[in-house]
Amino acid sequence: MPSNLLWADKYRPKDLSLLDYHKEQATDLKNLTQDGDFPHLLVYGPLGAGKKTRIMCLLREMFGPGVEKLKEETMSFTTPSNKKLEILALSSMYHIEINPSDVGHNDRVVIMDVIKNVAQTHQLNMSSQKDFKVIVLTDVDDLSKDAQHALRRTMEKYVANCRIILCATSISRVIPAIRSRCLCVRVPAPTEGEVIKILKNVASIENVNLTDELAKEIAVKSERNLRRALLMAEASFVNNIRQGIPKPDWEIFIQKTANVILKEQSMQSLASVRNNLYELIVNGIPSEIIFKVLLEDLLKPCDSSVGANIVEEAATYQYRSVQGNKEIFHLEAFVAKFMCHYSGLVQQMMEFF
Amino acid sequence: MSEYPDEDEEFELMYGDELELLNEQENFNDPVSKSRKSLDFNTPSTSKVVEKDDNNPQTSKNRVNDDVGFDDDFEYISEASNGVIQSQTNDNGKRSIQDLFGDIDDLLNEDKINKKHKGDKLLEELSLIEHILELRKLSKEKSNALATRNYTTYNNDRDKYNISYNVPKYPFIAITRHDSERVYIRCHSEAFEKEESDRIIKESNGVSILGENSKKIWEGALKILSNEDNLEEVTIDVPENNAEQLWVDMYKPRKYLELLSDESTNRIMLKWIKLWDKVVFNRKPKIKPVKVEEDPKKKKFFQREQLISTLDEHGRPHHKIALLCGPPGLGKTTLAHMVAKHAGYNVYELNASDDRTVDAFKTALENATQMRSVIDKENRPNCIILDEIDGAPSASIEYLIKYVNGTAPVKAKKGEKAKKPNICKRPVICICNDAFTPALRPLKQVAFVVNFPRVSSSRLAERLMEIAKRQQVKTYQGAMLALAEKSKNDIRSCLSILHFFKALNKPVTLTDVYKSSVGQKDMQKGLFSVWEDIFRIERPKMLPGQDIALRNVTLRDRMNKVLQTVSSFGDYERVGQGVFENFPSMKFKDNNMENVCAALDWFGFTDLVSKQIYQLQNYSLGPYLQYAFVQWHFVFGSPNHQKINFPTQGYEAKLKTERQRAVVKEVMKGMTTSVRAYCQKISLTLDIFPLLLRIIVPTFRPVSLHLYTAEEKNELLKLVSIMIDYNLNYVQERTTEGTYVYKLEPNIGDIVIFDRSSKNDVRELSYPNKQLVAREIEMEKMRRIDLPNKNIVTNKEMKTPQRNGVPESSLPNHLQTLKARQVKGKTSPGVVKDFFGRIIKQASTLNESTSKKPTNDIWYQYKEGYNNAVRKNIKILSLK
Repeated sequence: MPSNLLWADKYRPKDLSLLDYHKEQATDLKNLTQDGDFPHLLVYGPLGAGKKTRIMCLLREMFGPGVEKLKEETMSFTTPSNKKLEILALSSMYHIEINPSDVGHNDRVVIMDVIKNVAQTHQLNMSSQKDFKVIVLTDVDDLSKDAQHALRRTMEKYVANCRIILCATSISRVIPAIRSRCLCVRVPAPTEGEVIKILKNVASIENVNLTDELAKEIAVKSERNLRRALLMAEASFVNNIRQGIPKPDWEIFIQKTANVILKEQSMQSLASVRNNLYELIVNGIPSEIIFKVLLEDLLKPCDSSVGANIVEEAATYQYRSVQGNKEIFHLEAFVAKFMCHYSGLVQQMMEFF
Repeated sequence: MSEYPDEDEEFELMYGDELELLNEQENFNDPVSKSRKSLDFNTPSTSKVVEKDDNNPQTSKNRVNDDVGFDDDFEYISEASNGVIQSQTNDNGKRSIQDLFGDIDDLLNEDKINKKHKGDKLLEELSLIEHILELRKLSKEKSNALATRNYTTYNNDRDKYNISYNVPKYPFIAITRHDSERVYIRCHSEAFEKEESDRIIKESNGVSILGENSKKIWEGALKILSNEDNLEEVTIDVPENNAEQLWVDMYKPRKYLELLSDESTNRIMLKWIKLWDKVVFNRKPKIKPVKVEEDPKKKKFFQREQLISTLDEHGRPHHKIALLCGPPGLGKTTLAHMVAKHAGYNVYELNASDDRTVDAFKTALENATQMRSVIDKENRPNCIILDEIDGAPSASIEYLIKYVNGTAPVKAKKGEKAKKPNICKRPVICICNDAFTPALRPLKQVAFVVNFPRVSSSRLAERLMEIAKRQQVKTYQGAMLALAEKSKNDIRSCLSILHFFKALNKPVTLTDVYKSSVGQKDMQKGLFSVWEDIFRIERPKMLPGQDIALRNVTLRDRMNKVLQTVSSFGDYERVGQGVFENFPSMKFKDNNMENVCAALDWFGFTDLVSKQIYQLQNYSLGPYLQYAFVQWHFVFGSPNHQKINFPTQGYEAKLKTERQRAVVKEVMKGMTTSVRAYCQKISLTLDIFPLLLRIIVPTFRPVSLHLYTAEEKNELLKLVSIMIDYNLNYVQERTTEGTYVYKLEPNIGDIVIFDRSSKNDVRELSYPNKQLVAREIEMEKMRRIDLPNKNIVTNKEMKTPQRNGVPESSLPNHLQTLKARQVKGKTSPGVVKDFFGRIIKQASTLNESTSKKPTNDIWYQYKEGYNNAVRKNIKILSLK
């Protein structure tokens, strides 16, 4: 049956023992399930490293294949201000998965309401190996501070009935109180070699011809994001490798924007850059990624001394954009700052010659 | 009929009696002139003059009418009396001639008489108008002596006999007028001149037609006039002692003439309200046509909104509502009241202090329009003034419009009333400060909108000076001018400030005015003017008598000004967004973009602070927000006027973001659970969507499905299943050109492709392919729905024996059915036996119908609520 899936979904390991990389970690996780005292977990790592895969493997290890019988349910609840909210949840007999940040700043209500409800009920199926349920919360780093504070009490109070597995890209925005209550598991991105190995493996099963160079190129271009690597490989095969390896459009767009900035430093170019930035933001590209990709491209023509300055500036503005609300202000401020530095640099060069 | 019409009519009404009197008086005058003329027998024209005088009613009217067509009338008369002239040789005196004339007139055919009568009527009216005009002119010469007035009228009279446009029969001197028209002036004999002058001297001594009375009357009139003046003085002076009263009320204009507001505005309002006369007072069809003629010229002149003066079928003006808008303190309310009173209405005011729900509005409107005030003895009709309407709820305003248009739903009480809806027959004046309130939008479409211009500073200063003089506040013109300007020509606040200074009891100087913060209202400026203040460096104004220090606008002043403007506006977020979106198009000095960097840092700062304030409720940071605007003003400000656009980018971005989120959400919602468990939102947008868009476009041959090879079929199936996994489908849509296209739904292409201008490398499937895929997706979906059903059934089957180990007979009905089906599907022999034994037992115990069921793939299901209660489910599998 699962033969008709995307490669990325098709070759996803279902068992801890089948994982392709970080095998030590896998055994550690396996051991964790053997003992009765399973802790709360906080799994974090970059995109496409296999966090969710590991979580699902772990659950399967604990509860058996029943965890894969997922069903969707819509949970509804009311906020204190009497607003009705709905949130999608995925649940099996043994666990429930929720992304509380779906409801924005009302995530605290989700934590308080929904999680409490789940946590308060005992595990129904006595035949299962564990006598607790698992709540998987995704995108924990997007949770508001309120919600995180609500969570920390819940974690302790209902520890008898449920364990919480948190999933985040980065733990910098997770409050220390939660971090200390969890066993933090970092899932690093696979190395390029690992990515190549997996790609080759997949290619051989799929019976397509993947050359070493191509595999290498994909591994580099995917930035060690395994999901992206597999998607890229599949996309390039669908298109018969005519156009080379496709890159995500937003990445290309950011590069174009960087070129505009490097080409001309003026108010007009700043205005056109702003339009591009708006476009990126409205299409859901997070500002961190815009900063990162933009910076990479902007640093290319700079020498090390100026480059250091610019990286520092970028860090400052990115920090502010995380602190603040309107990403566009900070992004544009960074662009202006870069233009200011860069035009100074260009003038120096002109004088030098 | 009510009093207080417009000026023309006012005269007609007020002096109606006098008018008649004067009419008579003039007729009475004639004999005098005749007697005068009778002295002049030797002149050839005598006979004519006499004859004319005798032809009494007609001629007098003709004479009055001379402005219109002096010559024609003249000829007409001479014609009419043609026959008489011959018999004029004997000096019979007027009586006999009159008789004679009458006789002859009778002898003539009756047509002529009728004609004459008609003419009489016409002439009568014209003469009336003539009189009004003349009287008005006279009334303006208040200070002129009555004697001179008499004299002038007399002179006018006399001129008719002594001046002519065509060559007269008497001796004359020809003169060319300034408009190059020939005028013939009669030459009198010296004796006559002497006689005449004597007579005039005598008359001026008081011996006129009225004789002694004239002097008395004149003196009486003078006395009355002076009394009136005194009264005016008194009415204004009396409240002076009354310290309780606010000056604003004290010096409120009490007459139309005292209004300080722009004259054209006053006029147009008055005109509008006069249009209601037809329906309200049922009078005056005659002045209207005059207005219609006048209007176009005036409109062009004043460049105001066109007042449509045509009436509708009910006799109401085209605009039923007048909407006065303008900043506070200019006298809008005052004008509305004045105009309504002037036109003879009783003012029924409804303002923000009253309840303005729809119901309250309804009762108020009905009361005002359908009833007359009983207490008011003058019994005037109501005029509704809705003050501060911009604050009213939009539902009320909608009701008002409906009501006025006569489309308001009328409750059918007893059937008969429902037939004709009440139409509003009273003028409604609405007053608002901000004409751009969204609630007023529908009102503006139907109402006659009058924008209230500002009062000129000089005019206001003049008035202030006058009041200051009355109140014995020592001040001078310059200070008042400054005051007027400081308060942006707000009359009310000016008066309040002046009142305040009076309380301080010291002379008001220019510096006082500038320094005082009294009366600085929290003035709400429009968004655009706030932006204007930020982007523009104001040039210092040169005012007479101003300190030199004040002439230069220092940075400090600029800062204060911006701070004040911004903080009084309050909505930092919107103003800030406006600045952000407008500054790239501004022209300002900036080398190396350093200033822009600084300004953008401030944007970042405001963002951080406003997040603290609005999301974390840390309001103590509020005061810091406004300083960013100062910085922006310093960086972006320029002395030139620059075009400012309304910021839309931020809003559009917000909308687009929402759309993007909706697409992602929709995909998430429909994704197969096994796939969704591993997907995060962010990786969907970053990795999956862009690449998925390239994966779902394999090359297919454009042939029908059954021609595909097994490999191709597999590929198609894979594509279909991927698309289902990610909840994608092709949906047929009709384009505007009428062709059909298949579109990806949800359209992830929208949020993935950025550079729409350049050609991107994303291919699309051809139309037949898409069609094929769409069909296959539907098929596959159906199959999938079918599949889990079967699984569930089997699952339950597995469980049932475990769950109930109870005797079979107690089994509920539906479980039995399920078991019965199991019989067929069972394959594993070990379990089968076990079940088989039980089931067979069951079947034997149960009735026949249940035992029959398993033999058939089709079964019947009862659905509650359907009228075709029995439905037949046919499985896709069975169709294959």
